Amino acid sequence: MSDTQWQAPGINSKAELLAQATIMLDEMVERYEMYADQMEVANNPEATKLFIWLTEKQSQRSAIVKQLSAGLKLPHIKPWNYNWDDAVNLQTQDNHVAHYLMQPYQVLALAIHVEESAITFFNDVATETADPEVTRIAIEIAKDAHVFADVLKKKQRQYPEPEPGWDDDPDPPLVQE
Amino acid sequence: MMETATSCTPMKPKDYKSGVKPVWCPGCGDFSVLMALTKALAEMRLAAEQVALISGIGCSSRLPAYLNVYGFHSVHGRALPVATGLKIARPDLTVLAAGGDGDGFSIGGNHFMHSCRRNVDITYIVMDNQVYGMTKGQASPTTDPDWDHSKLTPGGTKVNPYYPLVIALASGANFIARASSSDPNGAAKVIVDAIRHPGFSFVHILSPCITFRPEQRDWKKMVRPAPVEATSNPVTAAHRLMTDDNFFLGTLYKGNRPPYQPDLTPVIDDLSSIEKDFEL
Repeated sequence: MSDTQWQAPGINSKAELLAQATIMLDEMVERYEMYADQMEVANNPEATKLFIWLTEKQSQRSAIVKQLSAGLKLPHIKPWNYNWDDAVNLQTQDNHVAHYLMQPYQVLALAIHVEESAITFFNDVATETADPEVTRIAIEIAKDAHVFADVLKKKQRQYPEPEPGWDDDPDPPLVQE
Repeated sequence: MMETATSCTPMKPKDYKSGVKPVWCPGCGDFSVLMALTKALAEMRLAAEQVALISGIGCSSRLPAYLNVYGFHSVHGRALPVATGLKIARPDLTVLAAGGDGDGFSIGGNHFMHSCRRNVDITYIVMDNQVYGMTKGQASPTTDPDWDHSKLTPGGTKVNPYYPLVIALASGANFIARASSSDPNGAAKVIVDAIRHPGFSFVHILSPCITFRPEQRDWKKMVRPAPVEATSNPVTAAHRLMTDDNFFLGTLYKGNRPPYQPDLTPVIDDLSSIEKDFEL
């Protein structure tokens, strides 16, 4: 739940780490895709385009992690046992992330937050594990997230920060009599 | 219970989505419920053609369109009778019913009570946002008495809200749980447990309406796991449900009543016996 601080799990095998990383990236893909759909239905083409771009980028990163897993039998982790959920759960962040009038700057701020949470997660895993191979791979994944966060920050600078009143809607949904 | 077919190949949550893009407001809690449901079905590896989802009318009742399992978007408040009939006729299917608080507790309120009482092996998921969202924000049965944002109820309804979990227990539901759309993975577990438990399972999901009840965004800060394990003792459950603040999550009651499933073996197996009855 959102007010509970998630903690890095005690990951002590390469297979377990790659299973966690794969699921985490796939969850991000699914959630970005969902937001792209929401924004498309709400006729917000700029946000839609960015969420589609994020979906594609995360899919590519997921494919790379899956390549690392080649030949390994990854353990199955049930969704309710993910203990990093708050790090990537777009729906438990502040509500404005899902606003139908959200602007590109906010889309990218959301994605940066997700990457920074992932960096913290994998760095914690690297520190806490007893397996040097897990440490090495976790640091690699954290570095990759760091690189991607930098790309996002650079992209975000291309867009203006939303001005106050960005969510004003001249034809808002109103409570009806 | 009859065996339910499962898929041999591992299923992914996405495999259960129809590809139809939901028209819910961006940020609506129902998106998370959709996600939780697809995760639950994937974890159970249920074959899509062995699952049916029946809904009533309302925002949340659009759910069947977004899944590729069998679906029926029925009449307002009538998801449960349709689901009951289907389960009786096809006990091999995993039958789910879904809808909102208005559909389930007002228009379909009587069906809710009697479905609990009949205890047919179905799972009923109610996405409660304490408002009629589709008709633009009127008070529903679960709305607090002082909510005064609708001109239909100036100064609030001044009527005590309906407590669905208490009603479900009193009416005989065999499984009662609460989940939150802010925790779709936790909701997935509750849905799996509800489907697996025999009899009528009621899953109450707090699913905010960000358009007409924006203050419900704070629910994610208020929900927390129930501090005790589920009980099978209805007296203990009644005490817990009557005294909780509606924000405890998890399975709260697991009864052990046998589900109702009539014997479908035809009594009359040939026409001659009918003809004999009508002989002059």
